[in-house]
Amino acid sequence: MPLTTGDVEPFGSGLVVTGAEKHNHSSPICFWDVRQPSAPVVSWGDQHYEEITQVRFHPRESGRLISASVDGLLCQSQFNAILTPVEEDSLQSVIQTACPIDAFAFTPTARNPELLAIWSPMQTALFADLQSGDLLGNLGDVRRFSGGEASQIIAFDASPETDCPIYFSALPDGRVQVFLIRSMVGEGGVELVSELAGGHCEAVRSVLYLPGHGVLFTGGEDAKVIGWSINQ
Amino acid sequence: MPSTFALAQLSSYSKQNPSLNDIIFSLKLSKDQSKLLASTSSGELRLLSAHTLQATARVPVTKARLVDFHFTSPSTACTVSSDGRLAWWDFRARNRAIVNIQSKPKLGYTNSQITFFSLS
Repeated sequence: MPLTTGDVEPFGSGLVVTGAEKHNHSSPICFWDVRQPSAPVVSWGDQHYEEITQVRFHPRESGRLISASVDGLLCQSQFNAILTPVEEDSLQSVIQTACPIDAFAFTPTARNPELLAIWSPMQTALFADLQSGDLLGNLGDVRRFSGGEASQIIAFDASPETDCPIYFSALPDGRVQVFLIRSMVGEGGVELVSELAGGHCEAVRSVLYLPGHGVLFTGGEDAKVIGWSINQ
Repeated sequence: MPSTFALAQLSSYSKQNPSLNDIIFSLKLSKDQSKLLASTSSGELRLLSAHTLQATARVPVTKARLVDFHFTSPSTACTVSSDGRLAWWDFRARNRAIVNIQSKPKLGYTNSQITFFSLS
């Protein structure tokens, strides 16, 4: 059964989590302890019923795990009692997005430190509050913000300078468009603020945004890794 | 909230690294921000200097698909491969995989074995 995603616990516990494709009506989430890697510490099999596309430990709070799947569910779990694998007790909240989830990203703002961006293979995007489990806004198909071009979402991120989420969209010719999301509802809340052109000649697949250091890195199908300085 | 966004004026400061020949799927930065890891379509990891973008290590992780990876320190990383392998790599030790778990889920559970190997 192929693995599809994994994450390392960021607080030094030695835990690693993996997600997998669907197998025997179950898509397991397995916890591993790198100090005792002969078997998973715990396997959860009841949270998702389709391929798991992303698992991530919460970046600021230990004991919290977020998982997403093709089944459209975004699950938030606690694993304080990981050695007692009672899966039902671990599940804290489930957000139903009604579309397959490709990926999610933490996009905290001052107003909403638990803001999460979620997007689908159909290029739709929405936002949820991890704390409450509520859906806060649905951008719909974001390709319309690119003028209907064949763009692909690369990443969502937080933008501390503006205190708004941003997202990066790849065009087939290598350009990257940067959108600022001033509002998650309505048509006027998404603004094209920058376009990276002249660097890549094929579609960009990855963006690393480091606003605090004035740097952004991109990598793409043309085998290039490019660093961009952010002039402020 | 600022009326303009800083990314409106971007410029490239580094161009193509000629040693990279595969599609770059994903990029990650070490916590001390000195190193970049790039995963490629051939299942490799390339360790790059975040300052010069020069490759300093090349790790053929898998012949399957490298689906996820994370720095665990500036010189070590964890990889997740579609063939079920979960591995830790130490770039200082001549690209040696320090822990390699081959997960073989069976009937909803996961059996595994640990192997240690070096890359020539």
